[in-house]
Amino acid sequence: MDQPARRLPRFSFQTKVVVPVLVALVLLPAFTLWIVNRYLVRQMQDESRQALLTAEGVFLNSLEIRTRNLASRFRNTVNEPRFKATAHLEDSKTLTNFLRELLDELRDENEVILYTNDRGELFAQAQRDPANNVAEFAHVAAPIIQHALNGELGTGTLSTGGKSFNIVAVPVLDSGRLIGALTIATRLSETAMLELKSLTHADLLLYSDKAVTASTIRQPELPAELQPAIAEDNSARVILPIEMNGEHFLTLAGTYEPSGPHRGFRYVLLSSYEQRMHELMNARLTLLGVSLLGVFLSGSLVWYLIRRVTHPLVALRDSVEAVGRGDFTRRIERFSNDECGDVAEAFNRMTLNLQSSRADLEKAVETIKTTQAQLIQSEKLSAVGQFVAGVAHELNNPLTTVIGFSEILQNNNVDPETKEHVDLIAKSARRCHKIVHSLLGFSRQHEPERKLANLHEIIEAVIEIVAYDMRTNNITLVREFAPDLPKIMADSHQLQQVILNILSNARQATEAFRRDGRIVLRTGTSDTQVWVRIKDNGPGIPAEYLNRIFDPFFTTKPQGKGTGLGLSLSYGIIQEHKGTIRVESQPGEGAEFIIGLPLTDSAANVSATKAASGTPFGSNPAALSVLVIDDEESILQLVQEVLRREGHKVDTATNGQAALALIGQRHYDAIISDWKMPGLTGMQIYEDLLATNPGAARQMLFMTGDVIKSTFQDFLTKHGLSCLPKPFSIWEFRAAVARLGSSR
Amino acid sequence: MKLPYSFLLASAVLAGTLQAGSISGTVKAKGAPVAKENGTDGYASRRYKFVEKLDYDQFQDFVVYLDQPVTGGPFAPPEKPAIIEQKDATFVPHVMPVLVGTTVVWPNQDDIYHNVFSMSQAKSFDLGLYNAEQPAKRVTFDQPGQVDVFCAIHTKMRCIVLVLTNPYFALVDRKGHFTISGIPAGTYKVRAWHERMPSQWKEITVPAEGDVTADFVLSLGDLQKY
Repeated sequence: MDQPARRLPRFSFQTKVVVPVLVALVLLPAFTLWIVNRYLVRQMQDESRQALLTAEGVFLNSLEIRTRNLASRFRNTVNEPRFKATAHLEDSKTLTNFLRELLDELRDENEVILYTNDRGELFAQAQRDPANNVAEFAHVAAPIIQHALNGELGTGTLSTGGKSFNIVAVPVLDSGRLIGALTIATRLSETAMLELKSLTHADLLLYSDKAVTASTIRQPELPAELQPAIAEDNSARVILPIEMNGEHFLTLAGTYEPSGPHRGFRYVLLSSYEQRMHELMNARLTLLGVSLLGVFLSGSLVWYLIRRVTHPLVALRDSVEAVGRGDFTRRIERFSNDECGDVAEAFNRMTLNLQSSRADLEKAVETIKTTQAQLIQSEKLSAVGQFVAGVAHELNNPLTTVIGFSEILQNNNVDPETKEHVDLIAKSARRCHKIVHSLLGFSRQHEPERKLANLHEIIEAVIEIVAYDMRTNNITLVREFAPDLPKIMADSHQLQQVILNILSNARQATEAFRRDGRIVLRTGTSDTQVWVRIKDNGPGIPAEYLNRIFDPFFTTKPQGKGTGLGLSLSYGIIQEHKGTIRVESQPGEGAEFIIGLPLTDSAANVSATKAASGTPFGSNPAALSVLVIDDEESILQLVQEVLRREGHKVDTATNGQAALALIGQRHYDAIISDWKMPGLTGMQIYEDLLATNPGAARQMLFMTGDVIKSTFQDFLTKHGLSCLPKPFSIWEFRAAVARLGSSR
Repeated sequence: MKLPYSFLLASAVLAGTLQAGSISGTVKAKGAPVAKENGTDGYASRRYKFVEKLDYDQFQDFVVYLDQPVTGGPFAPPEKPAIIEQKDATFVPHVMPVLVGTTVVWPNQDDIYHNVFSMSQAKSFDLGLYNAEQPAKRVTFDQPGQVDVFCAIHTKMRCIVLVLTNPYFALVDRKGHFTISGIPAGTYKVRAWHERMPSQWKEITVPAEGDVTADFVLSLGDLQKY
């Protein structure tokens, strides 16, 4: 499975292309060179051979021509009167003298002149070189002379006595009678050989009687390899290459007229192919040079072209790597107007897209992070809200006790100083109650609702929450409320949230800006709206933020301090109320939020008046038996004390079971129960009673520390019951109990 | 040989009676005057590259004779024939002045054959081929004039027989001297002849007795210019 990958050596693209091309470039000319060389060598050999054969032909022909020339020159000698006269004498001496004179007249080449009489006897002779053996010569030339003695012209070439001769034998006639033959021999002298050489373009060597008879080569010693070729018993024609004095020759050895009537002689033609070899070598070198140059040029060209292709690739690779590392600023120049250029352009476009995508992504991530932080903050706030709700609920019971007993104490006849203290306790407790009530109202989850609400009350509730903060930060809250502000249809909780939001923002902006903060809250009405203006004297809002201030998640606060949702939510809430919210700000002069809410056409703007209180204890005409159920001892004591002062008979139960047991034992005129309790709740007790003792059930009154929810309210209205919210004043309690008693 | 002597004797007698004198002198040949070029011998110049170089000073075989009719003629030819030998394929002497009617014999001294012939106007003859073993052949010259004689088979063999009308002639010796004696006194046109040179004539007055000197220089410069 985990097979180790075969390691391939890494070659660059350039190498992969250049090396095979170079190999091909080298191999092709090498092969061509080889073929051409072979061809040239063969051609050279053929040429040399052909030249040699031609030379041989020329040589033989030249000999023939020489002999023929000789013949034509001397053919008429026999007709010359002097010769005729002399020959006619048949006097050997006179003839010899004549021949000698003739020889003197002739050129040096004419070596021997013979006169043979009709009997074939050597009659007269003349020779230039006394060393010549004329008898031997006559013997060798006999076949030719015989021709003449037969009346024909005898011609030929022969070698004897170390010399080679062209011979012509002319018949001599005297008055039509053949009387003898005149034989003239021209030696193949050095000059003649040179002439032949110039005709044949080959060096010549004539060989006879085991000796060189004539030669154009000044070399007495023949090369050993030539010896067998020129051996006289070898009459075959031989062609073989030899080397002599460092020169290369192609040699042709043949026999002149081997089958002729007289003894032939060997001739050797030596054609030097040194020049040809030299030319061949030159041709080879030229070819090699040209090929190498060609290979070099082609290689360079290919290299250059490949480089031109790979250079952009390398640049592209580098850029891709750079982009891979995250350097999106990298761009490739467009090298050329071809595919490479297209690639570069595409790459650049891709990089640009990547860059913007990446920027978008980063922005998105940033947004998500911010959102997450805001969500956490908001969750935190929500948790705090829940916690505050719980705390407020817990505070209600002790506050009820404090308020209740302080009011009892007020009713007691105490000295004025004590009464003043008790009043302070009652007032403080009531203030605590208000705060707790506002907290509860603010923190509780609400279904959106529309109710007639007093804007001033809403504002006051908020101020109740933030008052402490304002004070400790030296911020003065100024209320400039219009009197008789009409009520509006609104969700007071939501509006509270809006006001709280704006106030908190104002506080935060102002407290950091100056020591004498001041927030002015003004209310009023216009033709269609009820408005509230909240103005601070903080630093104001920069102009560039003004149009973004209601955007979700827009915040200038440090991370984790603000969610950026407050004003956005506020805007949403006001929109839902078909109202308007806007901000006006001059930098350095604070900001002013203006909220407008539509006027309601309902005329029920009558402020509910509180039920007057002040009826003293003990004015109750009829004593009642009352059962009080609550898990809080202090509440039980307070209720017990109040009711006893009224003259009622009071029983208490700390839980549902105990209460039901008591109800089963006797009749109660009123049953006052806490709504929320451990064990049986107020509702369960009611339902239990409704089943077993409907009469008792109708006498139930509930108390609760919570705000009355709609489900609870429905339950109350369905069964015609009432509920007393904690903390309550004893006046309210007495009134409620009195209502139960009167309904009996 | 007897003839000339007798002839001379007769002349002397005649001269004695007729008061004879003699002419003596020298004969020389002189080449054409050649402008010396570059301070060298004129012949060395390229202009004469192909000219046969002749040593005029070494010329021989001059003949001096009276080139006019002389009183006392006709003169009788000598009885004995003159002899021109054929030896080593050469005629000896080369030039022979003879009186009209003289016979010349050509004996062959060589062992090879020779031929004697002439095609000249004064005498045309062909003696044929003969060798030493055969008798010498002879010719009588009966007309005055120059007779060129050749051998038919040896081209180099040549001699001149100068046939004259009077006996007052002399063959100039090797040193160039000549003497013609027994000449009747009078004024004569004397000719100096050479086979290769233009002849020179001089009016010589021969005294009744004694010798008169006449020196000849045969010169190519005397040639008529065309």
